Amino acid sequence: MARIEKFANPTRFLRLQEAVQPWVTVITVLLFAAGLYFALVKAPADYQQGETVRIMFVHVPAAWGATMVYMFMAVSSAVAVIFRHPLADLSAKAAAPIGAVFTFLALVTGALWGKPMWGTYWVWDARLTSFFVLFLLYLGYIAVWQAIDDYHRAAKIAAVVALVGAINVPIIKFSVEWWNSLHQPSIMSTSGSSVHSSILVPLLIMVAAYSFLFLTLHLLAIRSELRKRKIQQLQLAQAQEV
Amino acid sequence: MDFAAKHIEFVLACYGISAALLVIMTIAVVLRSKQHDRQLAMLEKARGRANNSKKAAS
Repeated sequence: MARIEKFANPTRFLRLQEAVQPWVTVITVLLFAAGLYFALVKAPADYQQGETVRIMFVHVPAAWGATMVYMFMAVSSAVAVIFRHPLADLSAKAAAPIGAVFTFLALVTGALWGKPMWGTYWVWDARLTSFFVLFLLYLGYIAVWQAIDDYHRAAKIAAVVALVGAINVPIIKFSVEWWNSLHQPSIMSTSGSSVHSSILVPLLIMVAAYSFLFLTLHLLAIRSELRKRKIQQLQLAQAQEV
Repeated sequence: MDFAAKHIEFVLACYGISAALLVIMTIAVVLRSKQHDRQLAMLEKARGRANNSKKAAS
């Protein structure tokens, strides 16, 4: 906890962010370039799915990003509630729009894969429905911050939404095992992967690319939130002087 | 990639929508950050000027 607290200081965080930002940006661009090359050029078409297998290289990373970001928000909210870490609320708030975009992309790319493979864009199946609930949770979380002016009150209510909503993440993960689902089970498990390396390598590179994109945008978004808070403090001080 | 393959329009739509949304999100985050940096710099400059004129007056 002492290490986390070290970066609780906004000035120290901004110094770190300025030093790290160019590196994570370059890594993100390189990962996307390599991932797209492998996904669109090197990976073979599937013997059953044909070229539609390439949808997996954007669908799976988006779905991974959506759940990973939500768990990150829930952990940040827990840290904010328990330890009153001054950056934890901001961190969760800054992550939400990025997670919402990932979730939307996972839903849309999943629907576009479903039409040629299942014959329909959408079914109210356990995995799809729980993922749609995740999208609603993101929207609800963002709406709380937009609707409440008092920062501390908004942070508290938003943290409750993030923590209660975290129950949905294991439901998403295990929905394909708990219920009869049209969605295929996980291709990765502790015992290894059921996918050939020609498909697995681009998939893992794209997952890394989406994760680094989140890191890049999240660092910038926290910086932006810190600046916004400082602007509000200065405007308030100016108004009091007048 | 075979551009004449069956269902290729679904693959292209997925990549197109993903690229468009990720680029729009990146631009939005960068612009918002720059806007806040600029706004803060202006406020701090104005505050510095106000403090200087207060000191001069006293």
